[in-house]
Order: sequence, then structure tokens, then C-alpha cells
Amino acid sequence: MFSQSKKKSPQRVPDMIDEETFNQIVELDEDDTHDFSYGMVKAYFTQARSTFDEMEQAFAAKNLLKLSDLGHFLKGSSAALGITRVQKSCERMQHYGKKWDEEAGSALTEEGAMKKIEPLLGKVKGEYGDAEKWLKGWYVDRGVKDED
Amino acid sequence: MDHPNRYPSSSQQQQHQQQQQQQQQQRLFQSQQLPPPHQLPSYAASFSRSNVLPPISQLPQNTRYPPPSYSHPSLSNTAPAPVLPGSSQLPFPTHRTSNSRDEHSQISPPLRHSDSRSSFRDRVESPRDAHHRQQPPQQESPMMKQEVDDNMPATSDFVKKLYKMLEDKTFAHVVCWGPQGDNFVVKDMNEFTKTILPRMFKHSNFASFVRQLNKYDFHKVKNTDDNQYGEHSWTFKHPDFHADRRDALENIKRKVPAARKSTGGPSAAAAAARGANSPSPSASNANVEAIQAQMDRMQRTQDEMAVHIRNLESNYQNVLSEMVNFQRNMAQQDGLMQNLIQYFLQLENGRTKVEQLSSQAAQQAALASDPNPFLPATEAQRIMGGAYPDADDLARASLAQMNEISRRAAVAGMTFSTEPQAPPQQQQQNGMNGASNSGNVNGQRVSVNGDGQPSSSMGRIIEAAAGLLQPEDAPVRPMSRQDALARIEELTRNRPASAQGLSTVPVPAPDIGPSNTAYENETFGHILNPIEPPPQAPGSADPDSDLARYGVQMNPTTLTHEGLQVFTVGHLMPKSSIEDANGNWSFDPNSLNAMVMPTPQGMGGDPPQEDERQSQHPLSIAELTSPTPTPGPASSRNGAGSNAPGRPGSAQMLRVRRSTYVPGWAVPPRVLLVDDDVVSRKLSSKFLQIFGCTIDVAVDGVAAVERMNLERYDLVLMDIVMPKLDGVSATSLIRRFDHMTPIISMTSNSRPAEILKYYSSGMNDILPKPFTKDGLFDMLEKHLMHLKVIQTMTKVPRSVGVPPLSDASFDQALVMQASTMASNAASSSTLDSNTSTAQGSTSSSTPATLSAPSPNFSFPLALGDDDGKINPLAGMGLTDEQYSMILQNLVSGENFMGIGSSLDAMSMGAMGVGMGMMGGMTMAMSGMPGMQYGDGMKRGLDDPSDGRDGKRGRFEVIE
Repeated sequence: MFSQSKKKSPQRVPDMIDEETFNQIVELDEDDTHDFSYGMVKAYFTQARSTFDEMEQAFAAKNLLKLSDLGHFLKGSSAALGITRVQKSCERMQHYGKKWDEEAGSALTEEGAMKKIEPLLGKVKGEYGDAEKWLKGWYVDRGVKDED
Repeated sequence: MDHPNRYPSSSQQQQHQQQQQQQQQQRLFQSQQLPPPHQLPSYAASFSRSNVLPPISQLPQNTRYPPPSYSHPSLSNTAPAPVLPGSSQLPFPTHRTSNSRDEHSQISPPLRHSDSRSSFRDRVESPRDAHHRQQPPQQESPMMKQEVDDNMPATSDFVKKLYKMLEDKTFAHVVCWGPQGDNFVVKDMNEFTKTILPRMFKHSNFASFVRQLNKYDFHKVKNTDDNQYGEHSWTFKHPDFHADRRDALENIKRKVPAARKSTGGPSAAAAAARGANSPSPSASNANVEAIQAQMDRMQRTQDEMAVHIRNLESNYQNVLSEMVNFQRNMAQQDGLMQNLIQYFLQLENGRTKVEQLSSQAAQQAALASDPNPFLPATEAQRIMGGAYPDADDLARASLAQMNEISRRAAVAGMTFSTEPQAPPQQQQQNGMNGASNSGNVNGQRVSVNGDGQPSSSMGRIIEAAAGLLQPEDAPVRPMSRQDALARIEELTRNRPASAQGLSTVPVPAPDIGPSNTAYENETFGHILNPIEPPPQAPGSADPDSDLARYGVQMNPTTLTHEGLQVFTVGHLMPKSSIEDANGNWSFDPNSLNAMVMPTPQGMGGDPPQEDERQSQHPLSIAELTSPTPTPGPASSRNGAGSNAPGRPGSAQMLRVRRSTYVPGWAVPPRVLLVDDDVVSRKLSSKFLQIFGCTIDVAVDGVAAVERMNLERYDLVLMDIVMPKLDGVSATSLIRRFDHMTPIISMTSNSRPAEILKYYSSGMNDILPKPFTKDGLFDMLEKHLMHLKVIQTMTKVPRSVGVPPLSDASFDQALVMQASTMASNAASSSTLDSNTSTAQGSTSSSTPATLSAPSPNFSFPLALGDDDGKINPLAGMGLTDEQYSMILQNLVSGENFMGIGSSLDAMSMGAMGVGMGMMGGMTMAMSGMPGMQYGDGMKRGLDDPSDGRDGKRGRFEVIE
């Protein structure tokens, strides 16, 4: 499941990042360095990865509320950076975690929610992977070195 | 019971009397908002002791009010007269009341009180039951019923209702007759409780219903296995209760309690209760018993109501006191606002004055008549006025203005007159001589000019300011002046070179001593203005003004005078970063082109962060033409740093960068950022930093509450979903001790219901996530307006050409100030606030009166400068009486109109009185001829809108 979505996602790169949002952040950089934005992006990477770990755990524990919270959390930071697709998926997870299918506008059972979350978890990871790749590439293009 | 014979035997009569008493008592309570007639303290005490009810004083406290502020008004202060001291004065037998009350309080179990209201309600249809529930168990067992019941018809209401209910087919699915018609079945207890009980029996307590059935001798039939209605159904049965035997219903009576009193017979009690409808076989004994029981009940009811009323009363009083508190707070706030307004008014005044002076000077010197670039004025006046102890604030506030002036000067392309020597008094007349003098001393250090010309104009400005201050050089100086003096002295010490008085000596950058000066000059721009320029003669005599320009010459003689401190203020806020934490700058000749923005470090309270210049900055409006800048320890730069204890370094230079925004806070807002997401936090912090805010961060609700407990913030940005404690709860907690600080929720959940929740938790606004820089800034502006007044004040006249007087509060402040001034000046004139207000509004509404505000503004200011003790017009030969007359006239509106529209034509003689005062003051201070004054003033006011925007644009250019 996971690998599947990973394969799929790279093709949809265009809407992966909301450039406007991202540019706004880059504009905050000073001195032609990207210290600030890159710091933010790296913080995002770190945070996202740990959030995924937590999501896995919560998923294993069938802790829907936790999943919802985590979805909300990652949605927030993704939105701040304009990582749109991750943001959207996280929002869906947030709803699923509350046993709510936003698209269908209907409530879900616990099992239903878990069933929906499972592929979503894979998908969002894939989306994140793409975003990370894109972002890293962006900084590499601009000569920013990753120190870690 | 104690006094059975006190009462007539007729139950009606008794009832009546009782009701009367009750009414009386109630009326008494209502009318007086005060503790009821009987000893309040003991009453309350007995309650708290017995724990019957929440103690009166605690009830509201615990439930509705924040504990710290609460005080029980009725107990603490008011408590007074209406309390009837003795029972003899009461309109009814108090001993009974108090007896029963004591009894009640002692025997009633806790939590009874919460029942009381509902029991009143119940009583409507089943007084008995209600009463029963009120009865403390100690007094009688649940099954012991009181035998009294009035208005019970032959067939009791309850049974009738029961029957009716069963006849109603719409209820059949919930409750119906049993198959044989000799019982009835409640098929669905929940449904029954939810829908039928409220409709038929006005309550929704199934247990109560069952109890009532029991009272009427209904019995529950045990469910048998073959029960067709399921195991959760309830079947009740009564021998006389049949679907087809309506007539038998009459036989269903309320059970008589098992002889609660030894005497009362059941039938007697029932009869008594039933009154006329039922034949009464009872003995009088039973009758009495019944009556007594009834009386007891009523008494208790009454007591309960009294208690209830008292609770309401105390609640009401709490609300009142709360309101008083609020009002007091509001008053305080108002006071604060007024102070602020006054502050700003003075600020404005100072600006106007300097503006006038400088513009005139500029005019004379450059002969360039056009748009006067000088809009804002210095706040030196304000400083001098000593109205504001916090020099830091002053410095900060004036930063922008001074900067503006300097830039305008540069733009105006005014040339610097190299002729020195004129004493300040004469400088006006002599054209720019005086200006050049001061220019030598101070002006050149304006780091902002690339071509040197601006610097001269700057010098002029300074000079003007100096001149302006001169006349006022009163013996009594406000603290800030002293500070200025001290600072000047210190500067002198630091600058041996300048002490030579020769302008020809440029200050070498690295040299620490001079560097301080240089630094100051550069950063402050127009720094320190000696109050008396004339002493500069030696220095200024030097024709080589160019040299002088760049040097830091300080005439030693000047130093002996109290100086006008002009803080040059950068337009930029300090950014927090790492470098230059000490506020030191090193001079780099290569960076002459750099745009250097002096800024008071205090603005952000942050350590100065940035190196001062960026050579490649295209925007640099300032070119450092001289080797000036240098390390100035923050303290030295601050002068003795005396005025600003809390603020470490005062100034720093900033590069202009496109991301730097200039909100123009009077004081850097302190913002608490609460967010658990590090990414969002970084972003928000960055925004806030750009906006010149001081930021503290909390990572969850708990930390936020702690921070709020420890410190004061101007604003809180609160995430909602957070670990430990979410934003809503945190806000609720914070609101318990902090009602004022705006809390703005940052959230991505912005559905109406959630928003409602946020607001109800005490949040002031919603900032949907993800937000943009602008979104955040709008929010800051919206909620931190009070920190932005300076900018508003400068903006309004500029863009609209209207004084910021249109606002009623400004008017008010103006009036206040005016009256203060007037009284200070020992003037006998009384100021009519109405006229003053009218003034403000008229002037703002009419374009023709654009310039009117300036006299208005300067009026209080000028006075303030003198501490209200000096007649600023004395220099013109005006007596105090004349002065006060002028004041008076000034305050009345008409003159302003004239002034505003006819400035040009104005001559000394033709001036209106108000104008006269204004002009006179200025003249007195600057030594300017009236005509010149008029011109200068007009320019200052007329062209407000030009220069600034253009200047601004520069800052917004992108590297």
C-alpha cells in the first residue's frame, strides 16, 4: 500500500508545493542566505518524520483521536510552508480520526476510519517524501548545503 | 407546632396569613437589596455550619466569579439600616421564622437547595410530592406523607391525569392499559420520561412518578417471563384503577402516611386537605394536625424562598461590585488613554514647532521655497517638557520623526550655508547662519546625507530646534534635561578633539573617545543640540564648513548648557540577530554608501543585532561621507543612559531590507506566541520580529498560562490544538486572572461552532491558519492600536491634511491639557471644552483649515515646555494677563479658522490672538520675525503629504 502510493505521487509534483506560500517564506530570508527558510524547512522535516512515527504508533494502537491530532499538527506545519498535498492529506486524516469523512460528509465507524487512514498514511508519507525531495533540491539549486 | 394555638383553626385563614407573611418578607427583600431582616450574620453562619446550602458568600465566588476580586458587599460594607434588629419590629412573628429557619438549616441535608426551585415547580401539580422531596429525611421517612393537601378534588388530579394519559392514543406506544385493563404498562421508560412526563405531569422524573403512584397505592407488577412489553417495561396496578371503570377512580386516594403524628388519622388529614369537596369526617384534632403540618411546610417553603432570594441578592450584589470594578478599570484605562493622548499631543506640538522653525530656516538659507520637506518635528520638546519620564520611549518615538526630517532636508536639496557666527537669536534674521553653526556641531553628523547638503539642512533644523529651546531655558529643568546635560558633559569628556572647538578635525573612527561622539551623531543624526548655539562661535567661525561638517566638533562652551537632546530615529526597528550585541559599530570606509539606519535599540528591547551597513544596498539614502561611525558602547551613546534604565543600548543601525517592515510602534509590542508546532512558531516569530515585536514563546497551553502569570504582554497569539493544555482551556485559565490582554487564536479550525467556542473562552479574535504576514500584521494593528498612536498622529495630518483632532478623545485630551496649562499659567481663563472640541472637529472637517491644528497643538506643548510656569510670550513683552487672554482665545475655535486659512497673509500685527500666541511663542523661542514664522508654518503644514511617501518608497525598494 505504502509503496504503491509512493510510486504514484511523484507524478503530481506541480501541486505539491504552494509556491506563493513558500516564496513568502523565502522572502523572509536575509542576506541572500536561506538560513531562515532552510531552518524552517529542516525543522519541518524533523517534525514531519517524528510525526509520521507517532502516526504509525497511533495507527497500530488504533488511537483515532491521536491520529486526528497528529494530522492536525502536521497539517499546520505543512500549511505554513505551503506543502499543500501533505497538508490536504493530513486534513483528511484529521477528519478520519474523528470518524468523519469530509468528502462524503458522513460519519465513519471506527473500522471504517481505520480503513481509510491506512492508505492515507502511506499516501501522506509519499507526498511528504516528494516534498522533501523537492525542497532539498530547491536549496541545493541555490547552493545551500545541508549540514546534517 | 410550637404554637399550635396561635393560629385560627381554619386552614384557609392560616394559609392566607402565611401567604401574607411570605409576601411581606419577599417584598422586604426585594425592595432593599439587603440582607433580610433577621440577623444576617448568624443566618449565614448557621448555613455554613450546617452545610445546608452553599454559604452565601461562597456560592457566587465558587461558581461565577474569580475568587481574588470577590468580596461580599452586603456582608462587608453595606449591611445597614434595613436590617431589623429585633423581632419586635418585624411585621410578622419572627420567632417562628427564625425557629423554623434554624431547624431547617440544621436538619436539612446538603444539596437540598438545588432542589428547591424544581420542587416549587412540582408543587403546582403535586404539592405533596414536592413537599416531600423538600423534607429532610431526618424528619420523616420517604414513605411518610404529610396528610395535608388542599384543592384535591374527589378524584385526585393525579389519577385523572393518569387516566387521561392512558386514554390518549398518541401515547399508546409508550404507555397503555394492560391487556386486561386492570393495570397499565409503561413500555419505554426513557421515552415516557422524556416526552410524556413533562407533558402530563410537568416534570421528567420517572422515580418521582413512581413514588407518586405508590402514594396512591399503585403497585408495580413484577415482570413475568411472558411479559409482552419486554423486560424493561413497568406495569402498575391498583384495584380501583380500571380502563372501563371511571367511577372507581374516585376511590383511589392518596395513601395516608403511617401516622406521622401519633394523633392524626389518615382520613381526617385527607379530608382536611381536600377542603370543601370532600366530606370531612375528621376530628378537629386531626384538623389541627393537618394545619400544623401545612404550616410547617409553608414555613419551610418560605424559608427556602428567603434563602433563594438571598442568594439572588448576593449574586446581584456581586454583579454590582463586579461592575464597579469594571468601571474602575475602565476609568483607569481612560486615564491611561488620556495620558497617552496628551503625550502624543505634546509630541505633535513639538514637531510642529520644530517644523516651523526648521522650515523657515531652510527657506531662508536655501531660498528654495518649495515643498517643505520637514513635516515632523522633534520630540525634544516633549523631553524638555519632562512630561515623559521614560526617555527611551521618547527616543523611540522621535526616531522616526527625526529621521524623516533629515531625509526631507536632504531631499529638499537645501544647501548648507557655511557662514557661522550668528548667535541663535539672530540666526533667523541672519538667514542660515545660525543653522550653519549648529550644523557644524551637529548637523553634519547626520549620517543620512550622501551629498552633504542634507546635512546642512539638518544642521539647520537642529539649530532651529536649539533656538527654539533657548528662550525656554528655564532654571527648572525637567529631569530629562538634566540628563541631557549630563550626557553632553559626558560627551565632552569623551571628545577631547572636539573640545578644541575646531570643526576642522574630523573624527577618526577607531578612536573610541571621539567615536562615541561620532557614533552618536551618526546614529542620532542630529543628536545633541546644545541649547545655546552661540558659543560655537569659535568653531563655527571656521569658514571651512565642509571640514566642520564631518568633524565632530563640540564647542566646549556649549557643553555647559543644558542641551536639547534630539534623538534621531531610524525608521527601522532593530532586528534581532546575533551581531553587534553591544551596539558597537565599526567603521568601514567602504561602506560609506551603506544605508545606515540608526535605531534605538530600546525599541525592541532586543540586543542590537545587525551590523550597521550594507554597502551594496541600493537604497541607501544615506551615504556616509565622513569617517564617523564607530563603536559606541551602548551606554555612552545613551548619554549617561540615565533616562533609560531598562534599556541596554539605545541605538543601533540597521540595514534596510525589503523584509523589514516599519510598523512604527511607540513601544515594541510584547507578544506571547503559543504554538506547539516548531515550523509555525518559526514563521510567526519571524513575522513578529519583522513587525518589531518582542516575542516570547510558549510551546503549550500550560506554558502559556505560566508565562501569562509571570509577565505582561500586549498580545497573545494562541494556537488551539496543543498538547497538555489546548488553547481554549489555556485562554479560559488566563482569563481568570487577566481579562484584558488580547488573545488571538491561531487556528485552522474555523468553523462557526469552533469560533464561537474560542470567543466564549475569552479569546478576542481569530487568525485563521495558515496566515500571511499581512494577516498577522492586520491583527497586530487591530489589537495594538494603542501602541501605534504616534504613527497615526503623524499619518493623519499628512495624508489627509487634517489634524488628528477629529477624534473625540483627542479633543478631550486637548481640552484637558489646555485647562491644565491654563491653570498652570495662572491664567484666570476658563476653557470651554465645547469650543475646543468644536475647534478640533471643524478644523478637521474643512480643508481650508488644514493648518489650523498646528497652533492648536503647539499651544499646550509650549506651555508644557515651560512647565506651565513661564509665560512663553514674555520674550515678546506680553504680560501674563495678555498671555492668558491669548490662551483663552486660542482655545476658542474661531481664531483657528482664520489662522488656518490665512496664514500667508498673516503678519505679526494681523495675527489673531490664537495665532499671536502661537507665533509669539515660537518667536519668543526662536527669535524669528513674525512674518517668517507665518511662512514657515504654512509650509510646514501645507506640504505634509509630499516628502514622506517618496522617502518611504526608498525603504521599500528591493535590494
